[in-house]
Amino acid sequence: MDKKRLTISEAAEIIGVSVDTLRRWDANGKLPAVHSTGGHRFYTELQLQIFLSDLIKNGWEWAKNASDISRQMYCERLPIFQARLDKLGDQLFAVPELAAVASLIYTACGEMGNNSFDHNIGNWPDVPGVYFAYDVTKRLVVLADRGRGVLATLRNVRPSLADDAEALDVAFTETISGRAPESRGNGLKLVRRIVAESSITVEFQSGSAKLYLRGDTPNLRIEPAEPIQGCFAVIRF
Amino acid sequence: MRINLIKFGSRLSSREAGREAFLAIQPTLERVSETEQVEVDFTGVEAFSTSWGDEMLGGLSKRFGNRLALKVTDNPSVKISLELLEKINGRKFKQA
Repeated sequence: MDKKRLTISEAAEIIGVSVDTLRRWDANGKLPAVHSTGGHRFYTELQLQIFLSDLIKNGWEWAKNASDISRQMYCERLPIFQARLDKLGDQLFAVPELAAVASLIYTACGEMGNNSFDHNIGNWPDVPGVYFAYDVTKRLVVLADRGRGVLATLRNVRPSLADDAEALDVAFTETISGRAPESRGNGLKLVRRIVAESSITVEFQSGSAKLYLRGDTPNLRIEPAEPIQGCFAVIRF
Repeated sequence: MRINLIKFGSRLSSREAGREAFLAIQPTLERVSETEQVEVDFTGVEAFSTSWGDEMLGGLSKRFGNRLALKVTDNPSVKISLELLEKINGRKFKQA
């Protein structure tokens, strides 16, 4: 990677945000620019590449604060998500070492992303859609939404649910649908089965509870976490 | 009659797409006789989710009952999703 200097307009184009957002990120330290003696902001390609590669941090901050995110990773509507999911599929199925798990990674990501749309359509609290970022070379996929979260969704059919942790436990273990009487609500159970039968791991946070899935365990590991509005998932393979 | 799922794509993931696929085959299903078996062939399918499967196989199962049979492959997502659907529905799919 060379050290070519990029203008703020060029950097905004590469990252997929506005020039105003970059000025704000420079001011608050999220992505500091180099300032020329004439007062212009400059960036290096390497700096932008490192920034964009922080998929987990960028996704979590969006789930937490609705911070600006790159257009490259934002899927406002379901068809955009599905088109990007197919691109992920193309990459996964092209890697010989992933032959045994490519279909499972693709299916798990599809279930979680589709779930965000299915359970929030018409009910997005503020920003619709999902953050969907992946790096197959790093064996990593990150998904996030600013939806209502699992607890609010499942309380439609299970008003007695106490908190985010109980909601996560139910979502990943029981056949229950937040869109009853439709026969929905099995996507997260499928994710659990996929993890149980493969080397894939999943961290899934909703509200103030985080679930860690690894291997085939009868009891789910759910821990308190710094609250977010919707859901946030990290898939490693 | 045989339904080749590959005709709906090699990666079958969303509930919405599954519902569209089931609606698309309605005219074909009208031609199935009262005693005919309906065979669903998974050959060539790279990825298959419970959501997609619930829309298609749930609809076919309701309409054809034990005349529905599946010709499955060893694709891991097909295997896991079908097992989960069987568990949820409390009955096994018939194998073709």
